[in-house]
Amino acid sequence: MRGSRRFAWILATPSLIGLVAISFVPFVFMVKTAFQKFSPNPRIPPKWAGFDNFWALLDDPQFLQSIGTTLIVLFVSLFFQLTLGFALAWSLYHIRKGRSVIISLLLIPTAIAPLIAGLVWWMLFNTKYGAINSLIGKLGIDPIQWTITMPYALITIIVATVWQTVPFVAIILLGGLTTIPPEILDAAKVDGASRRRELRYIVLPLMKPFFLVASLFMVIDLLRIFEMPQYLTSGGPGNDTVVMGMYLFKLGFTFFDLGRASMMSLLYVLVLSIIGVLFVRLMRTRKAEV
Amino acid sequence: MSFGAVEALKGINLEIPDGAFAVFVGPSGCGKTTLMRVLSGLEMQTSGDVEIDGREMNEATPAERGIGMVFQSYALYPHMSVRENLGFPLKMSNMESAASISRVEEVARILQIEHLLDRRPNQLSGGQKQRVAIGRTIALDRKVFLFDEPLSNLDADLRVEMRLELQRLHRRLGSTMVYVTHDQVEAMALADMIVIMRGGAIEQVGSPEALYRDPANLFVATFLGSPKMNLMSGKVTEAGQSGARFVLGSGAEIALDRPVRAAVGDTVTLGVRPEDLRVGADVIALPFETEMVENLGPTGFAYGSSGEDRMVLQLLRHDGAFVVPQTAVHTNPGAIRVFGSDGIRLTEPFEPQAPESHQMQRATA
Amino acid sequence: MTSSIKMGRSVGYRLRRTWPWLVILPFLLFSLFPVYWIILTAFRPRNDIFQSPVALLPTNLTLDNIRTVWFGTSSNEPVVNFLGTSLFVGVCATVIALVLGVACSYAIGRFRIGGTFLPTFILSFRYVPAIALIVPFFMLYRSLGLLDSYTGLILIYSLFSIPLIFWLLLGYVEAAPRELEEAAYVDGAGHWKAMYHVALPVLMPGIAIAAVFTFIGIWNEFVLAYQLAGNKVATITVYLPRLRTAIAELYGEIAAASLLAVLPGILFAAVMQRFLVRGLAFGGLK
Repeated sequence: MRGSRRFAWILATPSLIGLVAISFVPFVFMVKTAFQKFSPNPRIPPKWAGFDNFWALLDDPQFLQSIGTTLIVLFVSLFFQLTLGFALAWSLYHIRKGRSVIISLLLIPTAIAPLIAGLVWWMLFNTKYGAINSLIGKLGIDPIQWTITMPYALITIIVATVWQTVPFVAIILLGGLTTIPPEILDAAKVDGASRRRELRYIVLPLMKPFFLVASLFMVIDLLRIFEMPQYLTSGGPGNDTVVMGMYLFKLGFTFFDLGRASMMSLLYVLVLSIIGVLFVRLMRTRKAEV
Repeated sequence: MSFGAVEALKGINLEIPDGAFAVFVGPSGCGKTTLMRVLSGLEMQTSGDVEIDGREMNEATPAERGIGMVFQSYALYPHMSVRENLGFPLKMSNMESAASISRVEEVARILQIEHLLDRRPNQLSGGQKQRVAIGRTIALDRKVFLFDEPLSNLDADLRVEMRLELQRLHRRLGSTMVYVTHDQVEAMALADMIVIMRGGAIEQVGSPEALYRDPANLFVATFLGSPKMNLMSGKVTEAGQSGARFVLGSGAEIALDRPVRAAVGDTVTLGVRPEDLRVGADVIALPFETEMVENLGPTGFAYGSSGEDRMVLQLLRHDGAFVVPQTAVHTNPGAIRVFGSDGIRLTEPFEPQAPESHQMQRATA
Repeated sequence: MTSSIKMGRSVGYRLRRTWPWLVILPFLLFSLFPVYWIILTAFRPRNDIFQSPVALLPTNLTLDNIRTVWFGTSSNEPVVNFLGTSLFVGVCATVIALVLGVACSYAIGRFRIGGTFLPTFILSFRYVPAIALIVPFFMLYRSLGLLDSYTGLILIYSLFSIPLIFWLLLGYVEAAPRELEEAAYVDGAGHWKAMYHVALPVLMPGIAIAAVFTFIGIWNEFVLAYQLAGNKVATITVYLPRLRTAIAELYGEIAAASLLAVLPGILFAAVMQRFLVRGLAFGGLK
């Protein structure tokens, strides 16, 4: 109909202006600040600093450690998210009765604020009054100083992460499983595939795009964790469990080094963009294959 | 959902002889697919025994049962080439790769799909997919082949073609074949043994001819044949060893010279097939009022009513034109089947029952 | 190689499977235990909470913790104030985001403006979380004087929710039959009327889901609420950590306040599962 495009642009423009405002404007701010040096005295205007902030970050052991910690949490969590998530999805796939109730219950952790997740697990992992030590005490294990010693502090973060995200991963994978025609699985059984081989040769290959989607969601989710570890271990012991989000926050709002913090933000956004682009590429090639 | 609708089965007792082409047929939800899945080992029965070749197979996996199966949607593995699809059962049986390669090519040759070996399933037409699916099941030597509505996704022409091809395959392999369909025409065309099911139980088993001639009950009578058998309500006015008489709702009277298991005054249903009605004199005359004529080319049908009963008869051409009934249609006593108010046939069968092995008894349990 | 088949002794069949439950039930226990712990601690008297080792099953129950957070203490404001702020900010931002986001999804999904670039641009926001941009946002807000204001918080929440709404709704718009609007055009409706009277009612289920997702997302958000606001305008997520940093650790109070704060989420999980199983998997593949 006449005027359709004009009408569509009228509808879309307010959103687009808003989105440009929250992307380009802070981006410009960020890039500008990333190359500036801020004086502790707010009255002295910031000065151009070239790549000083970048080199300073590379020399900053805490920055590097936060990346290391984040990567450990990321890879270990991702491993459990995908394996447990698939085990859960594969199990849910095989039940009919009560499935919707079970899914509702499983989704509760997903809907809880990460902050609350941090606080709850902090209470659960408390050395003296925590339920976890009480539980393992029943098995005859001595209390563990979970959130204040390594490697236990890292484990608590991974446990809390896995707790919050596995149901979500399971639901994505379950959605993927329901796209596989059940007859194909029957055919595999008739063709003599054992349960293990059915998974290996039929189900897992067909699930690849869904594993990719779930991984992308999780990687992005894991790179931005902040309040959950902040209130679970507070980065301790020492700075051993400070993840990237926490260090960025520290740079910006504890040390008030806005230049360096902006540089870290910039790197953050670049890494996330690269992951996003890679993912889109990967999805395209997979679609072409199947 | 993860599994197709799964219906319950109730007390099935069935024996399919060596080399038979058995067709399970019935309306959707009748349990035919579940019965096949239990037979295949894809589902485990909760009671009863399954025996193949005299061996008890209750706990056996599909592969251990030596079963090949073709699915409605073909169930080709979308991420594998045709070659890999055909080779998959061989790989699963740990056949060495050289033997596997030559076997795949042999199968491809038999089914004339050699030129498709490197394609993916989504690059194949419906008929080609069907061939690959059959190829995959015959790649290994199987004792029994199961077909789950394999033709229902094909268009009409291809369906007829594949029907003939399946019969040819059956003749060549000589294997026992079990075929599930909801289409009674397919059942009649393919089977040498039809198993009619409803509500998880078997209604009747026998050769297509026997079931068509001597349906055990109203369900079978109306399920087989298109258009359906005409049904007329009537009352028994005379019943004895030598025969019986009925008066129909339309007022017509019918006399049979065969014994009928009914008493005077019983309400019964009389059935007569559209092709057994004709225009012109015969023993039995029924009032008939034509409402509409359908010309299908070689044959035609006249739709109308006889008293309160809807009726249809098959028209024959006479000197190139259909002869349409004016006020009455005729038939002979041999074409009449009588069913009681519970739907069970009350007359004796026209011909002796099929051989013993095709037999089945309605479960009493 | 042929074979006869015999099915005897009255073969019966009923679906039954146990192994999946061996995975599901332990996981369910793991998933729900922390929730159970929140509830238990919220209703536990202080002496029972601070016991070592702590009892895992319910002991004495009390409403003290709930009462304390509800009415507040000398050092802590009543939790209702923060819940109220979260609710107000959440509802306002959700409504604004829906108006913008639905219009945008409809325009792009139906009229295909902006080719492939525009959808990609909007969806790419999902890859950049708030934490990565908090520093520039803070500087921006500081120079605009929007720190610690309702306007500022509602504004950023509504704009940040548009990509989520777009992501959830695009599929609905594309799936809704175009013929409905075309029939309305033929009947003499303009674009606005066709959208309002025909398209929006059809999209309502999707819009409802988008509304719930958006609201819960805002309700649970911490980084922006803490750094761009957090003093005069303090949401429930800003309030909770305050209980932790107090001199005495207030487990009972934290649990009681957490319980109030997770209720919307739990309701959400109950309502949303039907949609989630298919919706998320397919949405993700776009």
